[in-house]
Amino acid sequence: MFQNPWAWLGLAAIAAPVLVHLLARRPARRIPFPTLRFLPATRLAPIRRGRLTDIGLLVVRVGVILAAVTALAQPDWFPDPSDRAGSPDVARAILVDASWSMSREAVAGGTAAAAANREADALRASATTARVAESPAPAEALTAATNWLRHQPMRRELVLVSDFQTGTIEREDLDATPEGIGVRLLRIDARAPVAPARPDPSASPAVRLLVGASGQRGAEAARRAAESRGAPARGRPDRTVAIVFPDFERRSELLAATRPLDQPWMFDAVNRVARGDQSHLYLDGLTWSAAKNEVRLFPTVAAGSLGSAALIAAAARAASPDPDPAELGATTIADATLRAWERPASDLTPVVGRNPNRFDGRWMWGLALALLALEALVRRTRPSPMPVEMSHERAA
Amino acid sequence: MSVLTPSTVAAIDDLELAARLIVEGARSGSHRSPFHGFTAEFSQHRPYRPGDDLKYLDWKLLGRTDRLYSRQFRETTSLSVMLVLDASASMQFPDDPDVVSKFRYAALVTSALAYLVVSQGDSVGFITMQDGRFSYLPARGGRPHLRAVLANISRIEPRGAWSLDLALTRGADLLKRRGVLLAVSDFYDATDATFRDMRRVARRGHDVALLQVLSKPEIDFPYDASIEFEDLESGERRVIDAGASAREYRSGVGSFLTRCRREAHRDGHDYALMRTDTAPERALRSYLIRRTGAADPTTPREAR
Repeated sequence: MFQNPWAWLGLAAIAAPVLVHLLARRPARRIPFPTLRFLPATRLAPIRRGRLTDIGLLVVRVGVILAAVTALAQPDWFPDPSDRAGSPDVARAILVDASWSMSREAVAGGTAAAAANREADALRASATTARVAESPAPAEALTAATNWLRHQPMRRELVLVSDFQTGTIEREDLDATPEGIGVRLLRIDARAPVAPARPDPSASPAVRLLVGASGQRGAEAARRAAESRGAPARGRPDRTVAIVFPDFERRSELLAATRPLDQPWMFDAVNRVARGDQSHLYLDGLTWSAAKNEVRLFPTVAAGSLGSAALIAAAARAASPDPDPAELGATTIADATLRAWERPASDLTPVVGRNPNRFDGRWMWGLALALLALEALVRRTRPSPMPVEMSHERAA
Repeated sequence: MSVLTPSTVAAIDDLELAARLIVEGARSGSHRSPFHGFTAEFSQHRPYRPGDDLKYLDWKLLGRTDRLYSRQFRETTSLSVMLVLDASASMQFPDDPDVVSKFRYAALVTSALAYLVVSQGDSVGFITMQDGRFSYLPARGGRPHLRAVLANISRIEPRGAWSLDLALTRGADLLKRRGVLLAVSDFYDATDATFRDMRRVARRGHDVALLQVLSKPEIDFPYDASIEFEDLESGERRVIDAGASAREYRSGVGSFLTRCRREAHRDGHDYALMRTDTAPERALRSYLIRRTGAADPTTPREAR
């Protein structure tokens, strides 16, 4: 009913105007008059100290305090049903781990990624509103999910579906999630990792170089330089990186035909290339977009430059089927740790993103302000006061 | 006839215009002028003598009879009216910009009377008293003099006390010959000596008229609760329970008004009570009709 019931103690302040009206001396109007010859000098108005004066004004003043105290108590007379404890309404942000380790076989059958997606679908179906996101780095995707949850006017829950390899997420990542948002960590059990199959030598190249006639030689030199620095020569057929050099004839056509990246591996690949991966080389002017199973990079470097060699090396690693060494590890976060990190979806008032219809006290503030204006009006319309006691002394 | 409300007339800054409006409103009735004075009057014909002014030659008679006759006129004088205006502080009531004060009302009536008198070709004078000093204009006729009178009235700000006896006596002295002494006041200062002085003035051949101007609150006393009343002239203050004292006050005011009227009638003076909530031209018209009736010897005494 009231979110801040202690505020009712403020009702004691009502005593102030009552005392003022009880003790204040009743003012007498002063009227200039042509002559006092017909006014008897002995008839003085009696004053009773124990009587409240200006009842109307007192009522208005008490009303101001009452409305202000009620507003401070934060009434919740017409609450949003979704804020109620036990409400089935829940907003759920579901993060699905899309890292390489999720491609392992799940205990229940199929790949861990497929099992995670099934769990995500089930969670989405049971929620009032839900959003599913796949990310090879779930810790980095937490912020976006939390931001979405902050604006949901109901119980909110963040669910992370993963095999929880060590390093997938840390306690600090979850601590950054605001209070009131529940956290659920749903593990997908995967079998022990197996060494990845070596790529078929006949498989497609890791990197396709799209270069004009004038840059062919330079591009080949750059490729050889990249391979000499350990860049894999072959890649997976479903993960290709194309580097479109500036002198490629159809560069603008390709640029126009591209579309935004939409697969987790594409982000993964672009991130690795943009960061230069192990080489820590950042490439300026890198534009990327996606074609079918292909990430296209549009660098500004010429085909034969050192930058292009580094770019080819980074792109080859990104497109390589070889997983990161960390992804091959079998260590996972213990269940007990995960349970300790979890917290239930709060039944209490949301900390942020409060439903504006929920706080009814604002109407009381409005009433208090209106009464204040009325009080000022009443005070101004009263005749200019003059203490009667003073008048009596003068009359005497 | 359209009736000008007191507030409408009082809102007109130009006193001459306000006076003209009031007079026109008051004149709209079918009554004779109350201030008929003495105009040039034909007396007789006499045979023309050489040296007579040709403008007095009766050309019509010459045409009919073929004889030369000069017209002769009887010497006539015009009426002199001295207006005595109370400008004491008690006239500055009610002190409310939305309500016509007694002084403003009295000034309007006085101006209208001056306008009326001058427009009839008679002479009008004006006198008031403030801080023990007289301010007056001797009775004269003509538009320029009327404007001087009105300008004098419009400059007055009511303040202090005054002496009605002295103002009346001085006003009578200013009238060189028989005339009308018209006092516009609330007459709160009137004492037995005042009425005695009025009788003395009347015995000198002057016609004395009293126009008593009072406001509605002074008569009805619509106050309640504890109120501190402050005398506008003396500054004395008195706190009273207005509701409980209202009956006594009204009784006192009623007796005072009755006494003023009785004293005036007993001495043969004109008397009229003018309330500031009555349209000034209506109040003036009513007064003029009564005065005309009183001046007409054919009017029965009871009707006066």
